Amino acid sequence: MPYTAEISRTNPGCFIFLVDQSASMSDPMESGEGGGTAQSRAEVVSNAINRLLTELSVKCAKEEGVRDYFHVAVIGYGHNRVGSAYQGVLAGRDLVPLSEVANNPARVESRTKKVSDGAGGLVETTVQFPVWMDPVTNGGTPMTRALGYANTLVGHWVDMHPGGFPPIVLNLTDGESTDGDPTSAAIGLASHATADGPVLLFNLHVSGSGGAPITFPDSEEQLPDTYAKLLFQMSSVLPGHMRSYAASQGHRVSDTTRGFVYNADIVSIVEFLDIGTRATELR
Amino acid sequence: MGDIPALPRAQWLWTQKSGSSERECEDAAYCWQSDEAGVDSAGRAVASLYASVSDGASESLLARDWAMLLTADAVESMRLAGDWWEELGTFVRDLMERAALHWDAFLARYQAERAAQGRPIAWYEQPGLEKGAFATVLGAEIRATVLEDGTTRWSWHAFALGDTCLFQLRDGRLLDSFPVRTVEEFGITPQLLGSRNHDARLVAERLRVAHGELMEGDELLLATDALAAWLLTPGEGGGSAALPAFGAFDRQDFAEWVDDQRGRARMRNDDVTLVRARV
Repeated sequence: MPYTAEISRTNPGCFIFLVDQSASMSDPMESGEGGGTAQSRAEVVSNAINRLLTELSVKCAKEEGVRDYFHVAVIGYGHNRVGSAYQGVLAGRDLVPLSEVANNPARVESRTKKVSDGAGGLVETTVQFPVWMDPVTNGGTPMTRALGYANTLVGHWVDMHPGGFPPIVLNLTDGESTDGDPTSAAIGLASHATADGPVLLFNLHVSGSGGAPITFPDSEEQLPDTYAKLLFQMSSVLPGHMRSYAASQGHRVSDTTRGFVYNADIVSIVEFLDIGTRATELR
Repeated sequence: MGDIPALPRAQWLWTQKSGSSERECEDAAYCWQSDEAGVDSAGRAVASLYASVSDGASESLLARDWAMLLTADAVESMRLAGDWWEELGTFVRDLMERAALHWDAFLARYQAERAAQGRPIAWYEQPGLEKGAFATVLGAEIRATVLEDGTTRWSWHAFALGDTCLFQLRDGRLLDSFPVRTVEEFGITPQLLGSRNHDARLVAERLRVAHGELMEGDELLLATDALAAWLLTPGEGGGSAALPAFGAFDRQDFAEWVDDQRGRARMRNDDVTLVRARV
């Protein structure tokens, strides 16, 4: 059965985040209710990725440090540039073992967070918020080149880990590709496979209109335009364990549900990353 | 009052999950037996062997330490309470207070040692430490009671929180299992005791207890979930085939046997612990 390979330190998982850094990502994010928020799309996406890297590090932390159950790349694509979006010590690095990620955030910020006071109210508390990437916005959307970049990383990875869980590529964008139809690049990427199954490519389209998000659809029917349909076609079907998890989080799923969110708001960005990086049991 | 017969010797076998080092094994076991006879609530001479097995949850930090502490405290609480199953609420409260006290002391020592080593608690450890460590716990007492006619009655009493199991074997075959009875009951979210859980009433509600009579030659096995599932799987331990001669195994034999079962995809890759006693 595909997508059941054990994830261990000898057979780690591989996550590649492709982050759209085009100029339009500086537009404000629409909330699910239609009201604007103070944050730009790029800020929301980079916050979500920083938070995910934090959660992954915490999840894999043991007494001796963070275990390398995953190797993670964060690739930005924008004006004239496709490459690592890590900052600080990790700048310029592509796939980085999770222990190195955890030990090398660019900085750790103190942020305030509201938590329950145990008596029905909320109190503000200060939490540490590690930051690996900052929002960057500039120029066009070279998605085809970004998928090609991921293709190279994935090709090396499956050569080195032929029996492991296949790499997962998560593409977060707000606009159409400006360097040609990305379909062939997406097909090329998903043609790599390990013995456990083909590479998984999930796509998320960040809200521009403020309309209701379409999360994890299983057909093109409800999608509004050819661009949404293109992203749907580029997206892999969710493996069983992610489908079950999505269902447990209240999503309606079927055997053909794809890793795709259209018109994502803040909540569905977090859900997309949570479901798309859901691992089989770690050993 | 007749003489107390010799108590069985507990055998402890374990192996870590494939790909982990021995130090990373998060199962724990603890056994203790009385040197002298005691007296039960009916005034009869008794002697007991206590054993406890715990499976630390890999998702939590310091799970191995919590599991080790829990097994020792479970045995201590059973031993000090006598007929501990009679007053379950009191027993659970005693165990949880004992474990909480020991855990707080352990944590303070651990954090001080880390600081002294120049490795203070990192940001990615803090949430795990705040959440606490989690583990299953199974405790069992094998008791020899000298009856009025001078004969000895053997019995077992056990408590369980989670899917670490006790098996009673007769003539090498499964007679009873506790608390899990079928392989389908093994879930991925078993009941666990958290190091920060102080709700003794809730834990007492969730705790399962059982007891049984033992005949001479009967064996009791205490096993963590991977082996327990194997023992309950039809065609493996749960089938008609005779079980391996665990009594003749040393740790190396056990590790090789487990590896062989994993290699044939008959046993899940997990830490495996077995405590065995034959009456």
